[in-house]
Amino acid sequence: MDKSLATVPDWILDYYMNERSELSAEQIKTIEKILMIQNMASIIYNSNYTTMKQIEQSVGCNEQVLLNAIADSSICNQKYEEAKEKLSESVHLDEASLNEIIKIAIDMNQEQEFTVQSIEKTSDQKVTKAKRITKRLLLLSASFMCIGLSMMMLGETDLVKNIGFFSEISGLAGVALSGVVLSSAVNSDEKSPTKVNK
Amino acid sequence: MNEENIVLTLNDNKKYVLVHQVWIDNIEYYYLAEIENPTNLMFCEVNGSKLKRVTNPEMIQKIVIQIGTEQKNNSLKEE
Repeated sequence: MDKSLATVPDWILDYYMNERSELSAEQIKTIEKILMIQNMASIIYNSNYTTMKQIEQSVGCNEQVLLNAIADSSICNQKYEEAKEKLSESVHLDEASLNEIIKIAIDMNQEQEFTVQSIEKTSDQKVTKAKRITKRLLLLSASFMCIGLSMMMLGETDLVKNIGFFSEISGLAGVALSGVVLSSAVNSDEKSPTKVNK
Repeated sequence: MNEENIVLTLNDNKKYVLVHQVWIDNIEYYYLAEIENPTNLMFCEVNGSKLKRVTNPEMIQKIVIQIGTEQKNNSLKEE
């Protein structure tokens, strides 16, 4: 069985489907984020990156703690430290990975506007490296958008169809995955396959 | 020959490399990565010197797929 299917606990899906009317919008959003994190973890696991061992443990997720996290809606309220503490007990990732996941999940929901102060051209190797890794990972995240397919393989066709779950999660997760995997790639000093310059 | 990249300094005082730019429905989008912290990635809608971070998941999907398609096409051309 594909490991990516094993990391989405059935109880979350059941809760999401059957108790939906009792959930607040924030709680629903939080469940979706937890599902996103679970899926990200499973994909990274399958990608054999450095956090593999830690992510493996996330399969054995502490349900009660996760429920508490949902009830608390810490992520939605952007209480970073609280969310981290609760998730660290339920999704057993190392702290760096956890930081990245939460930061990305929160950042993804923040409207931000920027102004360009200056534009320059550079041939700096550090910049080139960051760009190349990011490009490669974008392709990976595009592939990750098949997450909806995984849900359907779980037999949750109605879930995907009825609640528009696929577009919500896959969009967020695609980008979030880039960040998390990129972190692994950078930290492991290019353990991922590297194109050799001719 | 070294590859030349475009670096934007934004009003958060951080430098971002322009990884890719795409046009969708006559709107320009940048895919940026912070140089010092390349895990900080973002998609932005471009309006002159103003950049608005894209947070709509459906739009992000569109951009990712568009960039992925263009990158794939470019790779095929290079081969």
